[in-house]
Amino acid sequence: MADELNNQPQVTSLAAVRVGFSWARVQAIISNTLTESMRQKIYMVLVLVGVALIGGSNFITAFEFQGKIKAVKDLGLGVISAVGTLLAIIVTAQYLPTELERKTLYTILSKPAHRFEFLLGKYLGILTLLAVTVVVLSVIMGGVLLSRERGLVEEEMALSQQFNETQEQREKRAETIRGQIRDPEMIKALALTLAKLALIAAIALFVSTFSTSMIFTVVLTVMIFLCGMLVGNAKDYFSEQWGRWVNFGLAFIPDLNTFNVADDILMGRKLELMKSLKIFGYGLFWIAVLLFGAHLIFEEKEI
Amino acid sequence: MQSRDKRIAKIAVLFVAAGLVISPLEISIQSDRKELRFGGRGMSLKLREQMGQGLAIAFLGGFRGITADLLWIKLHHEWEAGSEKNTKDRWARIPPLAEAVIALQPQYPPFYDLVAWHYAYNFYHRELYNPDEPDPRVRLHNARHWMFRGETVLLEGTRNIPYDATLFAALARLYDDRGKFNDPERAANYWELSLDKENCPAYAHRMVGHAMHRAAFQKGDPQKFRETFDWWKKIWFEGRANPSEIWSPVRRGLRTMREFCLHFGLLGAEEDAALAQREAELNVPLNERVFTHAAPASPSGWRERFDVWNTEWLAPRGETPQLWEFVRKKVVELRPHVTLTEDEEDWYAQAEERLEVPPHDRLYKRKPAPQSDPPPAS
Amino acid sequence: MDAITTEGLTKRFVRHQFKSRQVVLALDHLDLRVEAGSVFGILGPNGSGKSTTMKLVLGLMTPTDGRASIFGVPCDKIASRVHVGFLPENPYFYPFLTGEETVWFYGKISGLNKAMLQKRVPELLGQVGLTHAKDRPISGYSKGMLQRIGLAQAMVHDPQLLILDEPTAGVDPIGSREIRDLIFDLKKRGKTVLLSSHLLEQVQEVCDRVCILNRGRKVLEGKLADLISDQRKTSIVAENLPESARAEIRALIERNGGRVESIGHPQTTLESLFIRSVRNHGELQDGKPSSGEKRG
Repeated sequence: MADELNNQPQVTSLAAVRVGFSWARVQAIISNTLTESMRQKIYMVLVLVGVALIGGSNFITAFEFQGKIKAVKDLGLGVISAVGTLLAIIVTAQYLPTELERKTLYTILSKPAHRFEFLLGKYLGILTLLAVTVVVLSVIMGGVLLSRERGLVEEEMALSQQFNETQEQREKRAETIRGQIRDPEMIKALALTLAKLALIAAIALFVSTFSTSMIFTVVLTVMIFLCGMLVGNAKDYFSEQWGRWVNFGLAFIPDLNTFNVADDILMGRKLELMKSLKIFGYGLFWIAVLLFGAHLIFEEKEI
Repeated sequence: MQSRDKRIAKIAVLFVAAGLVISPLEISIQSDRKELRFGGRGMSLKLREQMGQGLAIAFLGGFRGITADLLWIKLHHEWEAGSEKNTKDRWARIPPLAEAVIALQPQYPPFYDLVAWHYAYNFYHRELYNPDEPDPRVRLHNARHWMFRGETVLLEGTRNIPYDATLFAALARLYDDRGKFNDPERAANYWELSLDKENCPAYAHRMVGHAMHRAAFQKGDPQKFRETFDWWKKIWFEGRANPSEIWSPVRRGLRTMREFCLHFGLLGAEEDAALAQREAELNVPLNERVFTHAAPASPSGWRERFDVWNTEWLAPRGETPQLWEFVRKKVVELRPHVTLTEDEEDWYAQAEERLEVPPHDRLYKRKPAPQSDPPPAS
Repeated sequence: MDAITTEGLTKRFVRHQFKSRQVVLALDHLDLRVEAGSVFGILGPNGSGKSTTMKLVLGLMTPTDGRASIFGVPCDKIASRVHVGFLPENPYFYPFLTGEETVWFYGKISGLNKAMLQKRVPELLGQVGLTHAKDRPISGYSKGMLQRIGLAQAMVHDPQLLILDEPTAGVDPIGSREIRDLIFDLKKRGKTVLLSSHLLEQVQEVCDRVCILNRGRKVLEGKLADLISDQRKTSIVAENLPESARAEIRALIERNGGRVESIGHPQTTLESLFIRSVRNHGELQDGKPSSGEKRG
């Protein structure tokens, strides 16, 4: 490499000659991906729909207090998951085909940019977009929960008076409500949801490296997503007949159900840190495998 | 450049190898989920039919919580609509919805609690007073069917959520209900089971005492009186450190059981004296002491004692006559020390009539019927 | 040292369709040398291998056989692209970025830091005539503006070699002339330009050497002046020559064994006429004396 550079004519180029991995290049692509994605109408529409749905959960009244809080959390998490999944699939799926169509891929790769820098930058860009979306919708959900807190506490106080409870018992009721609304475990649930979305985006990126069109990428990613949701059930079912070897046989499909502990956490169940780190580690492993697979394909791709 | 086939082979090997490497972690995570009982049942045909197409897709997308909530709202809506009119048709939709909701989130106690309430109370009463069924035995049979279904739901809940007290308490209440199972002994068992679990009500230990108390009266077994006495005694003495304990029901229960045990020889004088000594050592206020032969210091003290024995007198009777003789004797002893209003006397007399207390045993008299005005002079 | 060298450069495309396998020979043993500091034109009909050659040189594709290098660095190395700027055919950029943001982005990819870009981006936008549209999203740009922004991103890091694929496609004559002038300017500064175009007149104006491809093979290569000049003929252009002198000249030529093919008035190009007319009209509108008019 050094010889090659030394053999070049005296250059007056302004660029810093950096042909190894450059984090600055990756950052430029991340920033570009984020800006480009956030300015698209589809992003705005999805986020606004998400905000409207979460805000609408304020009007769910067919529950007692515990149920009301659960309904807001479930709907909030459901919307975050749905909007995030759509973004992860659609926005990621369009990157490569669109870049090829517009020839922006040529203009980037004709610069001294490695292909894996491009892939990594694109992936981290979509990951940042997903993280921003999850944070925004989570803040809305938190706002709805906090706005209901006072009303729910008043309802419970009225009930408490009916039962002639002591002051301490009343305070305990209020504490229970506050504890459920301000439950720090929700952050874990949201983080696990983001991990799931990151994995879905990695699947979409991997598929797009060999796909010939955006539609094909979307359809194939959705199919892999459904397989990922069902593979856990399949393993349970088939392992009853054929033994635990089934687990190894189906292991090449990432089990997306692994991340669906968020529902249980929102019901008030606790998940130890170590156990949640295992799930994060599982997600990180598959993301690394998928990105590596995407790199192997993209590196050899004729564009 | 590699051929296409070589590249495909490389990628396939990558994924298979990755799967094998990550399998142990995956198995560990699944085992954590089973241990924590996270997740619900998998998709089945029956569940798919109960949920409908759209919600089945939502379920497959991992949206268990919101799917369960939507079904729950639908169930609630069916219940409300059925309550207003056309009960049979709308309420018939509730059981499959309830099954689906529980299948989706079998770790959420309120689902079991409310479904069991619908079955064991709402459906029970609907069948019991069904105007379309003339035979009261058939009505009772149909009503009890729903009572048992409510019990089944709660038992399933206690199996799926063995760490939460909510459903144990709900089962205890169902067993204790005089109009339903009327089995205070089982109720006491379930109240006791709920004590070491999460979300246990603060009063659960007192409910154990109350249920044991009723069971003792129901069975008329002296041993049960002693057990009940021991339970109240434990709370009375060992629970002194608890500043939020409500003492009056404990005191009433303990006092009643003490008198029974003394009467039936289940509590010796020595033991009684030792317990009195213990009360003194614990500085229990004099007017609150149980292990004393002193008379109450105030009218409210007399009234408290009278109410306890009067409540027993006016409760549905067990099969043991000597118990009721003793209760009657206690009421008669305490009656002169309290002042009852006419309305109270009348109310207690009505209760004696409902319980079919033999007339010679009755302690209260009905209010005289208001005399009608004489006819105007012609 | 040559800017670009290819030796036996070959590219075969294998298309798999169900059970059949089709092989297309896009480029067949191309040997090419582009001297540093020159303007080199690569021509040919559609499907002749021009774009394939460019992609192979830029490392966007891998050759089936042979090799290529840029300033001595093999084209499969990232280092070969450090001093290269590329403008693809019919370029389109990120529609939601503004012109300025686009050039900034490519500058960062090329390794320029913030301080350099703060100086370079306005300079470039001025050079390509897009300062007035720098804050407009790319989606609002016309075809000609897209070409200009494409040139700006290609030149952002002041590369030694520029590869331009159809640089004047869709650009109006004034714009085309400006791009041509830009190429001349680059050449004066010692830069190398490899360009491909179907507009042969423009190629003729700017290129030093050309190579003509057909069906993946090199048909012709050499100095433009040598290739297009007909040594057997002589042209003389004279000003203010009276009609009577024409007969004398004809006689002189025939006396010396030559043959007059034609005598007439040379023609300017339609492009020059267009530019002159539009400029004059523009100056009139602005109240300035036009270059072709005298006011008085």
